[in-house]
Amino acid sequence: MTPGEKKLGRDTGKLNAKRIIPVMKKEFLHIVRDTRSLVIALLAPVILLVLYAYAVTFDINKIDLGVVDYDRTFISREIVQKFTASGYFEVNKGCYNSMEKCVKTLRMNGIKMILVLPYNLYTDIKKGREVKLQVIGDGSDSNTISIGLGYCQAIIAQISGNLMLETVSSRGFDVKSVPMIVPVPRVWYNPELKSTNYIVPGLAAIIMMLISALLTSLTIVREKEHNTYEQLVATPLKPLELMIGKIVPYIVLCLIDVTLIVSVGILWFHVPFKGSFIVLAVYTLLFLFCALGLGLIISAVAENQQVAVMGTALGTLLPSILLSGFVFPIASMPVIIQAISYVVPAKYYIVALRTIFLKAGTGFFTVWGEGMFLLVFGTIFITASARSFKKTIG
Amino acid sequence: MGGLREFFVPVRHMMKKEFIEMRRSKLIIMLVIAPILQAIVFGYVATTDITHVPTMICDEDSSAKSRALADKFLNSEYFNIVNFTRDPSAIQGELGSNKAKVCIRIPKDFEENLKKGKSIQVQIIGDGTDSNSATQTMSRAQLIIMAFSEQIFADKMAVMKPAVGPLPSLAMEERVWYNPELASANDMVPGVIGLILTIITLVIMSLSIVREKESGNIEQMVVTPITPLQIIVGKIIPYIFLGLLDIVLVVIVCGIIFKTPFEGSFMLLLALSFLMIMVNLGIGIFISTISATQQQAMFSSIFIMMPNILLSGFLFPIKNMPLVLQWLTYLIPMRYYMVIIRGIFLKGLGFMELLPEASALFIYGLVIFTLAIKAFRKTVS
Repeated sequence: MTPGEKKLGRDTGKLNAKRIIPVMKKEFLHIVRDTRSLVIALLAPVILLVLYAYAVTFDINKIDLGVVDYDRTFISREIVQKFTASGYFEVNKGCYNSMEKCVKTLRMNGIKMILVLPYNLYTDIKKGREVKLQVIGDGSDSNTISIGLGYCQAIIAQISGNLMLETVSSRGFDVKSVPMIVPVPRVWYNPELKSTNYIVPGLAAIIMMLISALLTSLTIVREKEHNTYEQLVATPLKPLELMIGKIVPYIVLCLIDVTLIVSVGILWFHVPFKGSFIVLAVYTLLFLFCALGLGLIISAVAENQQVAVMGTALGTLLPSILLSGFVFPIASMPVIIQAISYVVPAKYYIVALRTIFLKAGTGFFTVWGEGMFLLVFGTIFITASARSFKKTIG
Repeated sequence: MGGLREFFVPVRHMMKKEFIEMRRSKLIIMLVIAPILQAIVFGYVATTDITHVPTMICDEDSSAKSRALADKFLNSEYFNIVNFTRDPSAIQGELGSNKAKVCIRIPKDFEENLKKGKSIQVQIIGDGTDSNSATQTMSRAQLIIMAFSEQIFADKMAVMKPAVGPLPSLAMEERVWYNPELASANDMVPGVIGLILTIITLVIMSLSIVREKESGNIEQMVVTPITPLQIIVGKIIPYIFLGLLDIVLVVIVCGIIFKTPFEGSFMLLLALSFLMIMVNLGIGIFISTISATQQQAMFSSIFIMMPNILLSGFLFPIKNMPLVLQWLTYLIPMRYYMVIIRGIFLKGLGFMELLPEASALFIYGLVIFTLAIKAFRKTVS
C-alpha cells in the first residue's frame, strides 16, 4: 500500500468530491452513449402519461344492459327509458326481450347486467302493490357490478317515490307537506370531479417510480457482469462515494423527466397547479433520492442483470400501481397490506403530487410526513447498498 | 423420428445451461416464490369497495333528529368518523390537511324544518383530489341521506295510508351470478395471475438472448453446430415449464387462501396459458434480438408490460376508454387472456366459448414467433 492510499483510506468520515466526480462522469458517459436508452428514458414518460391519462378513467358509465320486459306496457317502457336516460346504462338491442339470449350474452361478456320487468307490472302498480324488479349482475367484474347495482338502486328508488307521490296526489291528497332531505354534493379542490386532475399526478408518480428504479437497477450489477467491479474495488473509492457518484447523473436525468411530465400535465391536460414549484422541486428530489436508491440496492444485491431487472419489475410495476393508493384507497385495505404499503415510495409521492397540484396554500410542511418517509427510506437504501458493496470487498 | 431426436440433442444442452444459470443466480427462487407472494398480497389489496373513509360531521343543528342522521353514518362501515363538530369553519382545515376526505354538513334548524315539512339541503363536501374515492364515497353518502329521507317519507305515508289506500312501490331484487358475494378478490386474483405470468415470461425472455450477445457467447454458439432454431427452443422450454408451474402453484395457493372459485377446466386453463406464455416469449425474443444491451431490452419490455396492466381491462373497463385506445387494446395479448382466465375461473367457460380469444392468441403467437425467429437468424449470421 502506498502512502497516498493510506492517507486516502484514513479520512473515512469525509466524502471526497475529487473521487465522486470521475464516477459521475463515467456514469454520465454511460447514459449519453446508449442513445436509444436515453431517448426512451426521456420520451417514454411523456408518451406513457398522455396514453394512460386518456385510458384511465374511474367513471363507470355506459354499462351494457340486457332488458327482458315481460310486461310490455307503457309503464314498463318508461322504466327502461329512465335507465337509458340516466346515462349509466346502454341497452343491448341484440338480446332485447329474450331471457335466453341475455343469459348467453352475459356469459360471453357482451352485457354486464340484466333488468327483468315482471308480468303484471302495470296492473300491480295500479292496484297499489309492491313490484319486484329483478336485476342480474355479472359478478366476474365485481367493481363495475357493485357500482352498477348502486345506480339501479337509486334509479328504482326514484321511480318508486314518484309513483307513490303521483298516486297520492291522484287521489286528491296534498303531498307538499312531506319533508324532503336533499343531499347536496359539493366537491372541493376539483369541482368538476375531473378524473384527469387526479389521475395525471398519480400517473406521473408511478411513471417516475418505474423510470428511476429501472435506471439505477443496472448500474452496479453491470460492473459485476463486465468484471469492472474488481477494478472499482481496487481504487481508493469509498462505497458511499461510489453510490453518490452513480446516483447524481440519474437525478439530473429524472429531473428533466419530471419537468416534462409536469409541463404536459399543466399545458396539455390543464391540470390546475395550485401549489408552489419550489415545494414540488423539494419533494421531487426527496422522492428521486428514494426511488433511485431502491434501484441501487436491487443492483447491489443482484447476481446478474437478469435478476436485477426481474427484481425491479416485480418490485415496482405492480406495487406502484396497486399498493400506492393510485387505484385502491389504502384506508380500505387490510391492516397487514397497509403496513406493506409503507415501503412503496410511489405512495408518498402520489400524495405529495396530488396535494401540491390541487390544493392551494400547500407549503413545505403540509405533506412533511410523506417527505420524512422518503428521506428515511432513501437513506436506508443508499447506505445499505454502500454496505453491501463493502461486504463484497471483504 | 431420428431427425427429431437429433434436433433435440443440442436443445437439451441449451436447456441445461439455462437451468444451471437460473439456479446459480437464485433467479429460480424469485420465479417461483415471488408470484405466489404477489398473488396473495394483491388478492387482498383489491378491495374495490371503498370503506372506512375518514369522515367529518359538522352538525350545526345539534338536535335529536340531526344526531339520528349522524348516527346513520356512524353505523356505516363505509365511513369512519374522525371529527364531530358544530363549527363549520373547521371544515377547511380538516379537508385541506387530508385528515378527513369527506364532510357531512347538517344545517341549522334541521329538526324544525323537518317538522314543518320543508325541503332541507344536507351538504356532502368531498375532497376531489382523489376523484375515484370521492365519487364513490359521495354517492354512498347520498344513498344514506336518501334512505333517511325515505324513512321519514314512509313514516308520513304510513300515517296517511289509512286515508289514501294502498300505495304502489318498486323494489329491487338483485342477483349476482358467478361471484355472488361480489368479492373483488375473486376477479382480481385471476387477473393478477395473468399479469405475473406475463411479467415473468416476457421480461426474463427479453434479457436472455441479449445477455448472450453482450457477453459474446453468441459468437461461440455460432461456431458450434447448433442452429438458431435450436437455441431458441432450448431457451424457451425452461420458461414454458416455469410459467406453467407458476400457474399451478398460484391457483392452488389462492384457492386455499381466498377460496377463489374455479368453475372451469384446469386442463383448458393450462392449454390456453401455454398459448399466452408462447406469445410473451415471442415478444421477449423479438425485443431481445433488436436490443443491443440489456438496458435497452429492459426498457422495452417494461414499457410493453405497462399497457398489459392498464389497457387490458384488468383495472379499467375497456368500454370506457376513448375509441382510438379501444382499438389499440386489440394489440395487447393480456386483453384476451383476461377474458380467458376470468372466464375459466368464475364462469366455467368452455373451449368453444373462448374460441375467439384463443384464436387471437394463437395468431398473435404465430406472427410474433415468425418475426422473432427471422430477426434472430439475422442477428446470428
